Amino acid sequence: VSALLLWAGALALGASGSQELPGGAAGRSLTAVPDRRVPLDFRHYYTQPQLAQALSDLAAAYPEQLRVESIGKSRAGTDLWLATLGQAGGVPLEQRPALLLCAGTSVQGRAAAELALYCVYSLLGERERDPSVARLLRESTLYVGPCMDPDQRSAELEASEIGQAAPPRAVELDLNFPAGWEDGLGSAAAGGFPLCEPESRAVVEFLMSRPNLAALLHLRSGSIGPAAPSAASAAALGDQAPALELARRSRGRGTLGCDLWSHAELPRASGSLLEQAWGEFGIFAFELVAAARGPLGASGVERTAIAHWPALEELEALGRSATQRLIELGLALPRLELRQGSVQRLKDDQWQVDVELANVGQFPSASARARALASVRALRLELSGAELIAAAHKPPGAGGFAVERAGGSQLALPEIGPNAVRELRLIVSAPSGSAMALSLSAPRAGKSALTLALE
Amino acid sequence: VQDPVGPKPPDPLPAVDQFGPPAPPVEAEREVPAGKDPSPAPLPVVEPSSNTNPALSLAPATTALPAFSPSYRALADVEASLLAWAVARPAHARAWRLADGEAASAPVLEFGAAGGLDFDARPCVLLIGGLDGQALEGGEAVLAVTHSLLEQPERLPANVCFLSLPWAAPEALSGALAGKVFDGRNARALDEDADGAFDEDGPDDLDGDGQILDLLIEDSRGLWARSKDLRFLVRAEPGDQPRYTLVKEGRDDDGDGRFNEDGPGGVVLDMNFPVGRRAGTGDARLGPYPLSEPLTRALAELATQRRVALALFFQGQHGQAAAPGGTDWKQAPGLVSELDRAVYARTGELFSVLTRRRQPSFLSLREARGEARPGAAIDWFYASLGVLALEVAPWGPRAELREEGPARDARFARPDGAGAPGERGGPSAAPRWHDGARPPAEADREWALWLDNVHGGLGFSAWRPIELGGARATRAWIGGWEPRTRANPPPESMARCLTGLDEFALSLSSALPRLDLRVSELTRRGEVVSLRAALRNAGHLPTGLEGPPLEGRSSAGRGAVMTLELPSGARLLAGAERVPLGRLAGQELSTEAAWVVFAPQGSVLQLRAEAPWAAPHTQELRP
Repeated sequence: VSALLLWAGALALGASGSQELPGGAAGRSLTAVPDRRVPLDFRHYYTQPQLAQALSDLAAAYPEQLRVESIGKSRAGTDLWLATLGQAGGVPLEQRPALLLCAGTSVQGRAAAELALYCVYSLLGERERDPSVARLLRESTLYVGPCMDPDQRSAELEASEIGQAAPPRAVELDLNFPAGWEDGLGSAAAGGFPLCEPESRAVVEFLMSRPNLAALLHLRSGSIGPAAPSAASAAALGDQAPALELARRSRGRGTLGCDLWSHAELPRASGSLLEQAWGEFGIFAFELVAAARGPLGASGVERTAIAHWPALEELEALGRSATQRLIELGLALPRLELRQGSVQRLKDDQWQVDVELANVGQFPSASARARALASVRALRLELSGAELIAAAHKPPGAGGFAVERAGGSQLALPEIGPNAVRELRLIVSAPSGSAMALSLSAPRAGKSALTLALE
Repeated sequence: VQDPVGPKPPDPLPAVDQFGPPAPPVEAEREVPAGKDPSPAPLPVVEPSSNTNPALSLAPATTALPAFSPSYRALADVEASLLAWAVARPAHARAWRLADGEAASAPVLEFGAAGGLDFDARPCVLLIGGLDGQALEGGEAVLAVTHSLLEQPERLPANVCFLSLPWAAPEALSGALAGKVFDGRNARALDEDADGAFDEDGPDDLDGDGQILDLLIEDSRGLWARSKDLRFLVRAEPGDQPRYTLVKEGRDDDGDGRFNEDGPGGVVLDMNFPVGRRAGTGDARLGPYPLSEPLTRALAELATQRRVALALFFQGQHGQAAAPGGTDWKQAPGLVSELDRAVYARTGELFSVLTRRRQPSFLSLREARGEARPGAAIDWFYASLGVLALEVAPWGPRAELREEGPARDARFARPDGAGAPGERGGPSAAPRWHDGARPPAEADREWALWLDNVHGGLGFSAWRPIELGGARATRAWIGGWEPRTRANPPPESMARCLTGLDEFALSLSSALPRLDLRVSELTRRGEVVSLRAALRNAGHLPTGLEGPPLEGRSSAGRGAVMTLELPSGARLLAGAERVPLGRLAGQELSTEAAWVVFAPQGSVLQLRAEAPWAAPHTQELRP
């Protein structure tokens, strides 16, 4: 009922033509109403046409924040829809650190399309009254694939209408990704060869086409977490440690909600999307599990007839929780900042410029695994307005500067860890009064620019 | 994959529907003696004709087939040849394209004996040329074999379908023909050095001599050292100095201190298959994921849709027939199981007899190539599909030496007399010489013998110093094998290196299993019918392979099966409707199966036999 009242309020706002909400981006207002230009009902499961229509309506209503595209077709020819969220303007979306929320590649994941849709709906509606959402959309790119297996989901929905269970997929998508296939040979359920299914192939092609993807969340419903989480220490996990810490902090709130599990603490699942993202691309991978905590039915609602699917009464609460986890993870993505240090004239037109390179995110600018796989380009500093003569950086804990290899007007630099700062010394040549522009970029950590006056 | 019975494709190859439907079966009745010893015997050789052309040893054509002469040719010529042959043999052949509609597609000629089963239903023999993107002679081998088989179509085994893909990697082979691609990569642009630029640092003709050779750079961390024969290098060992880095001739175009690390292309199609890949190797030739390339994917889909029994990949420069096993396998004896090794050994013997080349009884791909070959097509065809897959290298140091071989160079004879094929510059396989230098690796020694004794010493450009320029005071040399010496045969050697390959392909395909149902009892008492039957494999190859040794994986699904199909009104009283028989060796008779059926008078029972490599066989029974 409360949700319906909110939608009514949103319609009234839309009718009056007012798009501004009290409070704005300055801070969250307790009395502000959300921006609800598209009324969506989360008390039913969405059929594929309904899901496509909802996304289309949202894209039409929020053209500055949302774009919807098809990244491929299912085996039966249904579009695989993907929503791209990000505030237009500033750094292009494809150059911002990005996160993919993906549902539908597993049995439990097919039940999560409504939750993924809710995330899109909620972020768009909350962006003006929640500064953290506004910041997330301004600084990052969120990709949301609400249903990557539309054929099987439709079959399950149709079968449930007549009280039956749909036959299982001949090839299970979450076994069909190449990572972890034992010596390249899968099982019958994994398919004749890796990515033989058009849906899993479309997902992998998408991962490859977005070098800015720093993290992936596989959204699913079902039981909470693995039966036996990995007890590996943070040190042993190497560069997965930040992901593990973030996941651990996010868990155990309330009785109904979504828990975040890092790939590092889940049992190895050959052929899964998570294994693929981390194992083959070095993308930080998480499982976002939506479920009622405690025994089934403890929340007092009737369970759905479809195994693994959340009850209709739980959808909104689970959706809110999923959105919160999404925001937390999105804000933790790596972000580069280029900070001015000092400019010192050495002689005539030669200058020593000290700058700080910072990563204000909770993940490294790229995982060591991604670098080892060469699946991501190196952190790079580009310079214009002055000639680069030499460069050096101060390694963490070291007293002096170590010489970098400088080629032309750009430097390839080591990755920067989470919440870390690196000092960089540049020796440049330029006439006095020149403006030297620096641009620091990493595909998965965004871009930062700085202009210095040499005088 | 284009549907071979689909609409006419928009390419110059003929549409399949112009050939009309296949004629009805004409398979001759066979009389097979019962209880024949199924023990393995050498595979029978299909008697060659007296044709004097060493590359095309079958008898002259009875119907005019356009002439074929091995040479270096472009893709358009390959397509034109296939088209002409399809037109000349309309009852036997049809041409189409694999991965039609993609940026790179490969021409295919599908052919077989006239009549019998539809091509789609027959056991299939793949003849694939140059999937490695380098072996232009592999393409010629496929053309030569195809032409030879079509010249005398009456010799084609009944109910076997051949699929010829002479240029399976058209982009890379076109590049190799033009002297622009050296490592078999296709045209997919990759950022191998992860610097954000694509294909910006490839080989260059530094000395302007019109050819791109090798570049040897003095480098204290290099992996190579000079051998006693100064032409060749060996893997550096501790203490070796000076050391070298070996790359293709070229400059450091992007100024990152490395040479040619991000050249044109691409993925090597023959390394784009799922088996043997390891994440994190950074080897861009494997592709971003298994079967990422349209052509490899189309080939895999084709293979899973057809009943592929035999796949011959004509490529490599080792001159031998290599069995699967491009990488280390976790369990002994390797990727190929013990049972299957015997089949491969017999195949190797056949190759040795028909090509007159020395060939170890079992030679894995890794041994033949002298280095690991992850993602190899033959490994996937064998391990995943149970196909008898081989890499047949037309060219190699032994291709013109033949089995007797020339005298060994006394300088490099090993004191211990050992001489197994080894890696190029393999780590300390050869002992050190008294003066500290090591002889070249076995493979280099063989190539040196060919160069010096067969090719008059011509074809290797001696190392000569080159100035690399820039601020680097590095010493470097240009030299190495010239084009069309080691990587591909000299034009005058092309025909010789194809000798016997047509007979090899024909003999193997003629040895494929044939199913023969033997009914020993069919009696009726009133409405009750008693039936006993066994299945004989009348061919010389087994009905399938076991596949790689894998814990918890069964190969039971790959065996032969007898199925009893009952008409309406009949029902099975005893016995199983479907009787798995396991793998049947060549000439082997299965154990007998028995059924008791309640069948009204006049019922017709159908006994059906199936096996992975054989055409299904059905027998009607009227008790």
